[in-house]
Amino acid sequence: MPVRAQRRATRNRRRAIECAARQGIAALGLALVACNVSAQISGTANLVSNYRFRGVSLSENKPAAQVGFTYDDVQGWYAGAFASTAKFVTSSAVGLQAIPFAGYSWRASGLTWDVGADYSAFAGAARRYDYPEVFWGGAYENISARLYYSPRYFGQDSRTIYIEVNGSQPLVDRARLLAHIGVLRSNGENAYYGSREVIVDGRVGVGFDLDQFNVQLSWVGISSPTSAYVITGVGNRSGPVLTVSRSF
Amino acid sequence: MSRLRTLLSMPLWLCVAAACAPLDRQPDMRVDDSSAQRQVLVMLRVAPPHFRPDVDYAGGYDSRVGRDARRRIAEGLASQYGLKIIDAWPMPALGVDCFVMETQSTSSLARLVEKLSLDPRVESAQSMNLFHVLGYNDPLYSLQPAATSWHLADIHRITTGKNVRVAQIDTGVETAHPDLGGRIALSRNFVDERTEVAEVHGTEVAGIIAATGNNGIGIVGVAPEARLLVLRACWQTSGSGDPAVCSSFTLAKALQFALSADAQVINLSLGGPRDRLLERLLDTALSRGITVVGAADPGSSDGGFPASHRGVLAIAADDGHDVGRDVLRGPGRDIPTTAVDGKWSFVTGSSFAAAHVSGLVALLRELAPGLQPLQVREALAPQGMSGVTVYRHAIVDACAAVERTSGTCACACATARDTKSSPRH
Repeated sequence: MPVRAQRRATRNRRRAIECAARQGIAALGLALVACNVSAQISGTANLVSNYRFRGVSLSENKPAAQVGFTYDDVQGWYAGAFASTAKFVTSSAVGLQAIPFAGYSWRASGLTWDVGADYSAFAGAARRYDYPEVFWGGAYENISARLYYSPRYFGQDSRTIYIEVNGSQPLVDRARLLAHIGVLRSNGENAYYGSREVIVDGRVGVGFDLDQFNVQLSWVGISSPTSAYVITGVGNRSGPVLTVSRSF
Repeated sequence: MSRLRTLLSMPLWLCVAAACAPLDRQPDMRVDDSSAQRQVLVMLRVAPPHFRPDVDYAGGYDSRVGRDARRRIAEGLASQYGLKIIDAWPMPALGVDCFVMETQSTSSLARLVEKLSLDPRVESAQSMNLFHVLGYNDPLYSLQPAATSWHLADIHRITTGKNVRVAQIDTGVETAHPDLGGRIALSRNFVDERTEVAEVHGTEVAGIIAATGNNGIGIVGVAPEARLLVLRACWQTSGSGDPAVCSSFTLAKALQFALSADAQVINLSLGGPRDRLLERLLDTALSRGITVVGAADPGSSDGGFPASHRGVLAIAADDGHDVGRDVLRGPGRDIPTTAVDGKWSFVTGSSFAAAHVSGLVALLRELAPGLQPLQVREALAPQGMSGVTVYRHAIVDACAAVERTSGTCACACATARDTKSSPRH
């Protein structure tokens, strides 16, 4: 088979998987909402000084507004959606990233486990940047770890794995220390402009609960300051990020 | 640069704001019999932590996210069943939030609990139970029995319970008592919003477990270098002769805290009716390798709850009262211990026998930090040759327990050898 035809077949197969993932997330979400009176709906509204997605800015190092909600079924199924303003290289207008997601979580032997899928879609930019992901994770008390796999991260022709470990440690009644480290590894084409094959991002900060609000101040660092998403084209150095959240 | 400076100054302002903001006010949870008969505990499920792109660090339970959703459900339940929400508390060890609700009528409380239990929004529901501490003041002799019968001075040469975390769930403790200096790692109040509450029973129990040794005053605790987690879940009642009281809710909050604080020993010198919520928390504690010591109620044929709960070490005083099977005996008569107002007094009761054994378990946990509850029970009361447990009515022998755990002869070596297969009386 000619190389071009092979690429086309691979692309078509991925698109079929993405389509199935989108439909699956939507169907699961609708089914959960429709059939369960005992489930819980919760959400947050956030203002961030810089939307750094896995260490790299999606807001041109400028503030962003975010909102998200999650529907938790009594059996452990969950579904939800998240949206954040963003800034893309393709347009001067404010863009939008939307992430519908669904999954299943359960407790076993003191641990909690989590499997699911999400789909990143970008409004205000070409649809070719959209990508699906599947993830698997576990948590114990205040530590969680999760592994994500995407067949075309930010629309690039490469398979990407992202592993993250998050932790929080209560300091006083309403304050806690937060920490995060993530490693992104892709094969084939680089997931970022100007990046190496493996990118490490980290975050350390403190969070406070003030009535209905949560305030976090973090220091975000990345192993490659020149890294930038293809969709934004803007690099960033390590720096502080302030987040103010209101849960509902 | 100015933007950076502004951001960097934020932690200071945040700290100031957090420190100055009023604390979440904890309602006074002291209830009497009539109030308790109108209250129910309603448990709502908490979804396991999972992927949420809107929340960083979703692994932690302490996030507020989702709590508002459960509050809304609780308000819906309260409205539907004619209840008033009194308080709520997260119980991450069980994956639930516990809401205390009160009804105006007591006549149909059992029916109400049944209805709530069947509601699909509710994980479980139960009535509020009351518990009482087990002991009374009885000044008699100026002796500390464990000093002789348990050879404490000999044992303290090889173990003092150093840094073993003992959670004492009881009334408040006089933390400033001169014989408790440096022994209290932390103090929490799950009854009301007061910070320091010096009460009789808790202060007495604390002294037996961990009073400071070699300070020239008072007594020496069984585990004088253990770290006490003082968790106030019981309160003194106004009547001078009445025992202190605790409720299902305050005890559950304290047990949850002991779990999250990685306590290695939990002392429960109290008793009451069986309680499903507390049973689940005790099972969680035992499954995590925490030794739970409960005072046996002399008025109950099986030692009462929580002493009779499977896995809990049930301890009675060596005072001649008949006790149920599987109950061990510890020093519980005329025990000198710390008292409120910086004093000392003499006490008698299974509460104080349990406190002795909690201190002893702390000594054993220093020698063998990974000691599991079943191994502790085996060290305190070994199985007979036939495999049948022979600890019925056994008197706990501290020297023998230390030798069985460490392989080291702490006291007169013959003591341990003589008691390896049968209890001493």
